[in-house]
Amino acid sequence: MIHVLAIALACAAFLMLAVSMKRHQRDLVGRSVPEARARLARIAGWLLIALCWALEGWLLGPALGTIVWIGEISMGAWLAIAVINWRSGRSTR
Amino acid sequence: MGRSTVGRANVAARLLAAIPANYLLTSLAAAALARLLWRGLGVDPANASVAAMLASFVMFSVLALVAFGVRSTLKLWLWMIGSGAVLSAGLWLSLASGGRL
Amino acid sequence: MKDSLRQSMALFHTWSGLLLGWLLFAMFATGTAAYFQDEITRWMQPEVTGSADPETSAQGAVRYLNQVAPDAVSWYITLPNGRSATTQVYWQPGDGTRGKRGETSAVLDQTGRAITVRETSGGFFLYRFHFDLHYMPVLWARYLVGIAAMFMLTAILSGIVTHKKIFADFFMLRFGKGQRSWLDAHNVTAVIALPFHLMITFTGLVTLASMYMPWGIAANYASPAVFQEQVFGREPAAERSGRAQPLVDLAPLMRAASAGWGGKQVGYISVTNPGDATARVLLTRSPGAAIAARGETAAFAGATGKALGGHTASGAALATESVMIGLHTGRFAQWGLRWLYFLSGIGGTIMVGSGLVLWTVKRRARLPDPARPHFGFRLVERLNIAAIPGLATGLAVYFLANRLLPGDLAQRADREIDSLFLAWLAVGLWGMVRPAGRAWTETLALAGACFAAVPVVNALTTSRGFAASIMNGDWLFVAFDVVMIALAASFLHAASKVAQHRAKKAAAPPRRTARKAVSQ
Repeated sequence: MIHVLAIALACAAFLMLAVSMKRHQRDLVGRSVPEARARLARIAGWLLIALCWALEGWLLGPALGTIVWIGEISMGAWLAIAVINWRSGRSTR
Repeated sequence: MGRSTVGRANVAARLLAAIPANYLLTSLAAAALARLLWRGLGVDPANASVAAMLASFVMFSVLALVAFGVRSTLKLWLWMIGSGAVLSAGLWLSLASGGRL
Repeated sequence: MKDSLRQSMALFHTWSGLLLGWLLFAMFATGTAAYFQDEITRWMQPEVTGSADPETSAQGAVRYLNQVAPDAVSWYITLPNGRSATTQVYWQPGDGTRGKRGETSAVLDQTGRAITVRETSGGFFLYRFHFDLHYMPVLWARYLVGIAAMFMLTAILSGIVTHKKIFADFFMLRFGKGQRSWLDAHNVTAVIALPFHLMITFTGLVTLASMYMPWGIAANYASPAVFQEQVFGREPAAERSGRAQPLVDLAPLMRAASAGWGGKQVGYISVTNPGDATARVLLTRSPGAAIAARGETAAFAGATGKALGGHTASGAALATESVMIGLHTGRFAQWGLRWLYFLSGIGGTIMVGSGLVLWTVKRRARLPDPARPHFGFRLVERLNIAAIPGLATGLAVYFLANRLLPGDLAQRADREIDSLFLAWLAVGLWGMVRPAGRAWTETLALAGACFAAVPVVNALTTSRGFAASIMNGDWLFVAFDVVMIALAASFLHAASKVAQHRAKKAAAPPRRTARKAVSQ
């Protein structure tokens, strides 16, 4: 359903933010990322977070939408951490 | 833990400031704020009371951190005692002149 | 400058988190469970099936109360909502006595018959425990819980100040690195759901604000009763007139009230002086129908059904308070958001638990003699075992007791609760007499085994086992079993990790200690 999509959006957002950080770049994309690209990734990440909020706000209204958005952001962040950990585990084996 | 003046007396003084003195001061502030909102700013008494209550939790928690974060324990106590005196005076004046529902 | 502030806040954070951390762990764990209290209650009364219509339930409740407490001062009826199937009633006896707990309350089905098939407190007990605790006067419990909540709030705030790399370490969750891993776990569970943790802690204080900070009200009101009247529209109860008059049918009143609230359902009914000419019926909007917790009310004369007007507390501060309470209890949440609440609560529980464990892990490395730690360390270590696998085992045993205790046992609901605490106590004591390392492995494994046993015992003792529930599309029972298995797996995994870690430490070459220097 559409809220699963919202969580997926949030996860993608945090993965973008992670890619913009030097210490996670190797794990996620296998190499260092040039500064300009990293900045783009960071902007994309924040945009996706905002998009997630807009989506929930449109679906549920501003009050309930914000509450649900906060929960989904947290879940998206958790999923991103799981992905990063899984990738970092593979790269060190 | 790295702070140069963590003596027993210092920690005790800060604990007293952070908990009982804090509660006393915050209670005074909540009462004073409730009266200020109602008698001073025309907010209805029920909302004034509740607003003061909500604000007091913020004040208590922040003051507890401040009690351990500021460098001078003496200044901390002086400020707390001073504010307490001012708040008490204001509260007493307000109660004497206005009364309660 | 900044460094010493970080250091002082780190010290503050450790102490404010540690001193009541064990209580906070229990509050978080049971509070998290409480988000599904209606579902847990349903699981614990498997004989009750289907859903209950509020109007029919109200009529049934009145029939029951007319039989059992016709002269009561007042009746209180909690109607079933979409998630619960039973009606809870409570009454204040007319002779002025206050009955013992359980004697003036009942749980009814929608026809108004008391459910005696498997007497249980269900999920409602877990909800009440998280702020009323147990075996103590609720006033003491609420003060203690309030103090703990304030410690929690200051712990969160000081944690934010002291966390050096809140952005840089946002995604760091390294496993197998000892102290660093525990710190990562503590940081990540804290930061990822930081808005939730701040909200839940602050709003928790707000739910009982007038107990903790009555001075705002006292400053403006000579007596709290005047405040209550202004805000909640509660009138003081009139005396019974002695003229008996039957109570009108509540269903039309409920429909009228609902219509006045734009279709929102009635959640609670209270009747004062039932059966008398002075009877008064107060209907309160269901808390599930809006984020704000304090529902609109509608009052009616009980003998005639005449509307007496309604009341909605208004104003920015009152609305804020009402919304804050609503956010804390989450009764407005539909099942998706409810799961988000639940998962965030689990995160918070892990945050508290990992903090408690981190304290011992950090200090174990610095012990001058690891074989003989100082008293404080030993105390914290043993309390950790009691708090974490102890409570977990207690919860699992609560569910097992529900399935295994005889249906006609006297005070069955209380005995179920006692089983929880007995199991908790037993694990706590075990953790004190065993060597600490082994105690962790054993108690974590026990918790895991007990959780794993719940679906098995359920399948063996009821007709609503996992397979049957899947085939019937009974997703509540399926989800319950899934959560039990997930908890079991987590605890068993933790037990095996501890055992592995200890085996590695034992196999590693012994550390050089100054005392054992061998002269060459």
